[in-house]
Amino acid sequence: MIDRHLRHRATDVLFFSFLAVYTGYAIVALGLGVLAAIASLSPDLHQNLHLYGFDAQTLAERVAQAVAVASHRAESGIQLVLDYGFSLLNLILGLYLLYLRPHNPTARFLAIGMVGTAAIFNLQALDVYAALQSTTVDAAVHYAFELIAMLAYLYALLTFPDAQLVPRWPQWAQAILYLPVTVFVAVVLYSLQATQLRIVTIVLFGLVIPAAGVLAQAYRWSNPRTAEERQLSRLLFFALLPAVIAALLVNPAQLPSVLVPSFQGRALQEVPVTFFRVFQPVFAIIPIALFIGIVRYRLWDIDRIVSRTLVYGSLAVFVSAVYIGVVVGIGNLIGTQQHNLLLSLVATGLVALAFQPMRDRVQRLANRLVYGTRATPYEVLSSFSRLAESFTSEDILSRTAQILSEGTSGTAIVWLKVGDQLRAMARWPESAALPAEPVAFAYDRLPPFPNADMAIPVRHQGEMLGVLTIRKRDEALTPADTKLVTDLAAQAGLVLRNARLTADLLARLEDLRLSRQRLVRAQDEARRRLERNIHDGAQQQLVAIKVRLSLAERLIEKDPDKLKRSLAELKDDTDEALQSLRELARGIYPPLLAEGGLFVALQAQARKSSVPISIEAGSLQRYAPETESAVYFCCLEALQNVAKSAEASTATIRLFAENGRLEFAIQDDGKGFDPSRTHEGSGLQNMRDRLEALGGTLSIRSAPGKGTEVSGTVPVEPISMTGSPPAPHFVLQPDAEP
Amino acid sequence: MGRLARWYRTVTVPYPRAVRRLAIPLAMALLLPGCGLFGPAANENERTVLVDYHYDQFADMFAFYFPHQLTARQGDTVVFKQAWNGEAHTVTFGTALDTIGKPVWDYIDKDTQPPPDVLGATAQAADAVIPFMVGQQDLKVRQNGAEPCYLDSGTPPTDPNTPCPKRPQPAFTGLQAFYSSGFIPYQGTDHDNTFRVPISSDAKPGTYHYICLFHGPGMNGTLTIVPKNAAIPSQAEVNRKAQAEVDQIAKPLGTAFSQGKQGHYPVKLVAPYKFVIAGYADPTQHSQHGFGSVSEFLPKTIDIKVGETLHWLVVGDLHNVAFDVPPYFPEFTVKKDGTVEWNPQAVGPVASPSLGQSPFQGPGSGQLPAEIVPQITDGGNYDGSHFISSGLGGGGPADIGYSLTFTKIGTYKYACLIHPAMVGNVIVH
Repeated sequence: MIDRHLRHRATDVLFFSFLAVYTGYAIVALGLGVLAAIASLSPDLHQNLHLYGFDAQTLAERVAQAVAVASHRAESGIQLVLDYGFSLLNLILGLYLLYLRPHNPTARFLAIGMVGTAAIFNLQALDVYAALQSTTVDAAVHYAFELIAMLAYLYALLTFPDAQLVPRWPQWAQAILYLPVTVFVAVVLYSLQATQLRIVTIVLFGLVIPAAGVLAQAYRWSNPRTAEERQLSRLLFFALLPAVIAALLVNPAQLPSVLVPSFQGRALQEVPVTFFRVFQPVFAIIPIALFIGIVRYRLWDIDRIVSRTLVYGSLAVFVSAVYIGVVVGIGNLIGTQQHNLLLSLVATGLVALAFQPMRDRVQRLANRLVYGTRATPYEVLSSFSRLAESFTSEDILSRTAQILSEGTSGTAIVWLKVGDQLRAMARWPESAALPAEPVAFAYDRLPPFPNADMAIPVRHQGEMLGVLTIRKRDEALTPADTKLVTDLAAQAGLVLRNARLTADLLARLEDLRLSRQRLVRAQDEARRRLERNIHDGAQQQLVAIKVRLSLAERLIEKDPDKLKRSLAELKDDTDEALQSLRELARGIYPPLLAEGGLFVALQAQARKSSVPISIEAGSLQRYAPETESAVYFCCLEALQNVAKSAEASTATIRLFAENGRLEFAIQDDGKGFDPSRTHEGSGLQNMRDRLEALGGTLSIRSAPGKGTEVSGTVPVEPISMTGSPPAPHFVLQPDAEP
Repeated sequence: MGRLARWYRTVTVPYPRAVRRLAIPLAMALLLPGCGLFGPAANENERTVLVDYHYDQFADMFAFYFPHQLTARQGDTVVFKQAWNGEAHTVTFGTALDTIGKPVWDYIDKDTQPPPDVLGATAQAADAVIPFMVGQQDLKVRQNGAEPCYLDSGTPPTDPNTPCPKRPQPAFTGLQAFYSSGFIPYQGTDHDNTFRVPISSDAKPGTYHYICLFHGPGMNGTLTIVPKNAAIPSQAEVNRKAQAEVDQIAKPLGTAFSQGKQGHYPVKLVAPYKFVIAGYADPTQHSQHGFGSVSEFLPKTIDIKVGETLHWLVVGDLHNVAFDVPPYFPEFTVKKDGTVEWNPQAVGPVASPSLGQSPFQGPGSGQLPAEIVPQITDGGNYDGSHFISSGLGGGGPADIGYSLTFTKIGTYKYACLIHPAMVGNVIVH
């Protein structure tokens, strides 16, 4: 970690020192050009320069001499303005770009390239250098300056916009491609003489470098890694194309007469002004395009600019073509003078008629060229809207993150509110894991996200459902990014709500499934217990009675007194058997509950309890048997707990029915327990299941030392007492006892 | 101090780090070249004399030493810095020169033209002793003049092919019979060639003449040696003097050249055909210390119809006209063993009859005739398919010429092979 940091600092320091020296050199070169221009106007300065540099020994003297000589060929005002306008544009733009993006490699390359171009493509400065009687060292330094500028520009165009070289091969393969080419170019240039070097430099700058850039950007356009790259490469491609075309058009005309080897070593009297004047404006377009692309990085406005440029450029060409075609072409055909008024009028008329449809067509074509399939943020938003309308996709959240990430070119995470936490649900790009830690938040206020550049809450009908966070590693968020995220968040409310509802629904279904499972299991167990009870209890007793009856049968003649005694015992045995059966029945469905209802049945139970229990009941009626039994057994379970573990002194049962709901509560003043620590017993779990199966709820509230309250509700419809309640299966005739 | 620090902090803190990072190195960068430019001052014990000069208004050949008079102390070094304009130069001292040439020097030192009889006699005496670089009649290189020669006594070998005995260059004492640099070798069209003359600390004070063995005693200068501690003009003053002398030669030449560009020639030319003037000179120029001319074609680019014959009239210096121009080469080369040779291509002719020599060569070679009928050597037809050179010739007031008839349409570049900047275009349509 420290190592990397140190390395970065070292690189930074190296780069900026180098840039400082390089820029210093360029500024000095440009300044000397200005001096030459001034010397052409001031004979005194000219004379002094000649005198100072007369014997041309030191560098200063030679430079003075060169300036004096160049001042004879000083440019006129307009030429100077063109030259220095171009140079200043490049210089300022290059440095400003670096100031805005000091760590972006393309910006760094471009800064060097543009500073170099500013000094190299300036005719006046070139004149001074051409006049310099240079030593080997001078020539080497200047050559290095030019070579570095060329290479920097070349690599800037190649690595734009993602700072990687194309083609996307492994590094060693790229090195094999580029290193020899670089070395070759450097060596070839070094072997050229002064004037030929000049021309070849211009050819390289004017043709080869833009051509390489065009190829690289075309490659990126067809194999983009991100939507961003596609747009940016398209922009640069269109910016470089005029340079290449201009170079191809201009160069062949000039090449033969200028690159003839026979003039190696002979000073050309004329500097190729035409070359410069063609390439300067063309070369101004490239840095402007790159500058805009890198700085803004969101191309929406630029797409508009490029589109408009295409449209108006084509329209200008169209108008000129029509005009020239009509006036000159037809004029020649019919042999009239050039400035024929009638023909001009005809041309104007044609243009006026054709302009609007032409413009529409061209605009459409430009839009198709420039915007392609995915472009503006508005298209991004509309694709998101379409996504929001679809209910089915399970990965709707990751799609949201993807759209967000591609729209802003950063890392996007979608957080969903679960309970009172925000949990990370989706992330794009998916190269790293989701943040595992949920972020707590309170009072509906957005919590801080220290790792994100921007976090926007997603609200639906006032409630905060989630958060969208963006993180951009290399650059700051642009205003356009902010706008996109905000707009997206506004639309995302519905999406998140649906996502959450779906999640809730799924969770609920799961719960239901589990509770049903438990109910079935409980039912099975109850049956098994019943079977056992019958088998162990009543059945055995009846079997025993039958045995004794057989024995008693034998006693009829032999011993009537013993028979009397046996029959009395048998009567007791039968009573016992009856009693156990009765209890069994009560366990299944207490007859008291069936006859008297909840209040009566609970009252009976309360009397049996060791702890004094009071019952309060209000507006109770009779309800469906499954409801009454569910509530009854629930209260029984609670009372059992009270008796067993609560260590209570009193307990209260409350029963109320209102608004279609039957509510019950058992409160004791016992020792209580910590509900978060104690696992709910299976008995209460069973009760909860039964209540929830009826659409009711069970809740247990307790705190250590504060007693326990078991309460619940069930939706009910009172049953009229006109008919007898439907008899459950296991019912015995109630005994006469109270 | 605290206040200053506070102010500094408030000034610098708002600026982003990138700017601060850039600001200091940038300031450094602007100072660095300054240091480089105004580097170590020239050595105070050296004085530089320019041999030939690159004039910036036109391509030229100045067979002069600038300044032609220099004062230096015992122990100083005189640096003769030659600007390569295609012409060979030497710097040749010697008591032989001073002695034999004394009658002439007396006039030249006073900037007056020596009378012809004095000149004639001295020239004859000099010819016997002093070897010139190139034979006057046969244009062959003479090693006894072209190679470096340092003789404490005696005279250089009379055999043209025998150079002086080789020895390392000694310091100049003023007593050497012959002290010559030989041909100062070519170092590239953009570089100056140098011949250094270290003056020995016990050199005899006095005035010593030196000449160029290629251009003859017409190109001359003097070196005055003064005792070690004497005051001498600074290099800046020397430069001023030299600049003045350059201007003295160049300005009238420039004026004449401009006149020539407008078609006003100083002599009446009987030339009823299309012609290009190869080189230019000012016939009114009469400097006792050298001569100069323009090394350009006038006009540089000319149109001609196919089948028409184009003429070149050579003025002021030896030039040639060559088509299908090879890369530039100097007119002399120095072989590994020190032998100096013409570059054969330079002298020519190639694929053509030879251009003649003007009888009016050199300064002060008689009065100019009122009108001149150039003697033309016809090079024949030329279709642009091969290398052709007229060979070196001319040197007078447009009295020697060359002609070619173009049989094919096109644009042809041609050049004078020995002068680097002397190029022209013929557009044949």
